[in-house]
Amino acid sequence: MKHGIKNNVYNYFIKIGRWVLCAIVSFIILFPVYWIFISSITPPGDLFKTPIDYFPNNPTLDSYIFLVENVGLLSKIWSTVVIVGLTIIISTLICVMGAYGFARFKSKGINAAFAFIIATMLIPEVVTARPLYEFMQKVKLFDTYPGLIILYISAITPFTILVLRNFVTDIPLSLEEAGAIDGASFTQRLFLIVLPLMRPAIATVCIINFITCLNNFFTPLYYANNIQVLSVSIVQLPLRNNMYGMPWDLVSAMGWIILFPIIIFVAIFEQQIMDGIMAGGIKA
Amino acid sequence: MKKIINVILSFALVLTTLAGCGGNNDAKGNANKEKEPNQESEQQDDTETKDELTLYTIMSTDPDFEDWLKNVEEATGLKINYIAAPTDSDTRQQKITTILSTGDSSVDVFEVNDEMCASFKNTGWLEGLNDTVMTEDIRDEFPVGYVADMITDDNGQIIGVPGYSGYLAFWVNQEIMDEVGVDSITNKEEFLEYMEKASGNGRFGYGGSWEKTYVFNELAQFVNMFGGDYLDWTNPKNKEAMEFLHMLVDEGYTPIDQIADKYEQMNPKFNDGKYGCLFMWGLGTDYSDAGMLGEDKIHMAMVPQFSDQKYIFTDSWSYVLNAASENKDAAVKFLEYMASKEGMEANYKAFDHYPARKDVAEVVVPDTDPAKEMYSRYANECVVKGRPMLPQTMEFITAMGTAFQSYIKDEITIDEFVDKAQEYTETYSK
Repeated sequence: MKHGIKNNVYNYFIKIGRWVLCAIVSFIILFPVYWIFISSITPPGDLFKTPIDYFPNNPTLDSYIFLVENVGLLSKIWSTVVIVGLTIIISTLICVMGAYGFARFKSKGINAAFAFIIATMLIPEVVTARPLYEFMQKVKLFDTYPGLIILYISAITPFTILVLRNFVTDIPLSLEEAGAIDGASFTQRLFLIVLPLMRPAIATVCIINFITCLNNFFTPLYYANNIQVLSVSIVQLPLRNNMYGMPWDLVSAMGWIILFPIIIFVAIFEQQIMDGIMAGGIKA
Repeated sequence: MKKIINVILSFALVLTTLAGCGGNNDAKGNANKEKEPNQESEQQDDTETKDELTLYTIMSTDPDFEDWLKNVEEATGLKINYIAAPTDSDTRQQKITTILSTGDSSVDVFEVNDEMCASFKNTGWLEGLNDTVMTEDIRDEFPVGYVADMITDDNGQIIGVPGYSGYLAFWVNQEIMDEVGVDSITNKEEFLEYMEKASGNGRFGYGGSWEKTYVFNELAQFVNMFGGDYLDWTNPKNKEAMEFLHMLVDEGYTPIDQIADKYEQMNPKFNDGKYGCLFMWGLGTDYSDAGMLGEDKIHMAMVPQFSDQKYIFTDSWSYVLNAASENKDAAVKFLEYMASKEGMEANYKAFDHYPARKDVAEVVVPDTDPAKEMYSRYANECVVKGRPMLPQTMEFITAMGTAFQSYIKDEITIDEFVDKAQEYTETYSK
């Protein structure tokens, strides 16, 4: 009896401890997001007021209105949707086939190709920036949608192939063999048997790639001038105070616009992300 | 499954079609596509007859930019495409360095700050303007010290047209001066007297923004005021200036926690009456917005004289011509306009940028502008200089700021700081 009460108390404190830990971690993660939001609705003159206002006294949407009217926010959102959307679709198609090939066929050449693709993840973007800049200009892909989409795809391909290949490896080969006995062709086996089973992993990589592409700052900054996406726009806001003052209200508003779809996306697909990561686990 | 594939493929088809429509650049590849529809059609009509150039500008997101652009296009007869430059200084410098160093001709004219001028002026990437734009008849109307220090290369070629003139002005809080009974701050003794009387009870005589990159301006200003040379740390006057700043902290005349402050943090404190005086760029927009700008509140004052002369820094953003440009005639036409009275007037009216030319400022700036009198006095009574910058500008500024912060926190001695400063000067001048 005594032992039972002791156990209950112990469990109770463990439960409280978990909640406290969750609250602390949540606060650490969410407070900056909250701070960005309230900064975006605070008039610029009140931003650095002391003592600090944790709830804005005079909330305003002026920053957002400014972004729409003067920074071409809507056209940037559209460019972002086009580039990210096409990147996700094309890269997924390519990577599904690539991952299947790397998982099902074995040879020294294939293994070397896989290792080569994965190794490209280790090369920092800045190392290839200058030669790639010249190359993109020479092949007339600089500052074009196709050029940017190709670069975005090349950036996310290694990770996508890695995750999908691991997932395909875990799908029993006997399923495909059964299909083959029933007369299914190679294409039918890939698209009608394996692909449906890959859905959790595909959902996961699509979500992660969406976030990666939306956050990609370097590629659109370097390889485009007129095609402007949201991530770059955060550094294209008007300076104040004789060009020495950063417009933190506008930066916050733009930051929140970039963050918001990611938060929504992750909130909706959180289960798929977790399932996919658990199922496809990076263990190559 | 079929349905899903159909939906995905349809979406891809639509996006591909739209991407094809929007992303096809012409040979120049950099014409800005973000203008209003009516402007676009006007520009298409104009393309056949007008000279074209592409401007890489920091001002494109300013609400008055479109009007300014229209004005310049009408005055020059040019069709000006523009590209929005990043406002973040590191990002901007990386991008412009890439464009210039690769010989990319897609941008003809860049709008660059002093840091970039210092980095680029001796690289050969920028076109000299002595014979075309910055001719002898107008050259002396620009701040001579600034032109010599900042935008003249080793061959004596001026590589930029200053777009405006800004001073690192001395600002005082008149309310505090009246309260403590100090009439003027003209020399070191009066400055210290003001420090002593104005400091205390949470208030400081002097305020600064000593964040590691921002502090550079004040370090160089005080070195100048003491008659030193920021690029020669064997000069004992430099050491004296640094010890003076340390003394301001030791005596409680200025707060040490301002080593985290940039202008965004410093100005509200000045508005709140926490500082008696400071050095700051610009025309006091922050003070005006807070209702604190005025002769009886916060206003510009003459720089105190600590040594043989009064010294003041000026800064600017300059228009520079890409040496690889294929539209040099159009670019020169644009630059000539920007160096003219009309061009400077357009800049002043649109962006509140004080004209860089003395003669133009006299005519264009109304007497009601509170900056006019003091800017005129700065130009006439002070030794006006460009800030001391080295080819590896940002590295130098950051290293010096970091070392100064260590010194002010007593992590290193003054002699160690001076040794480091000399070492950085030699390292980053290569």
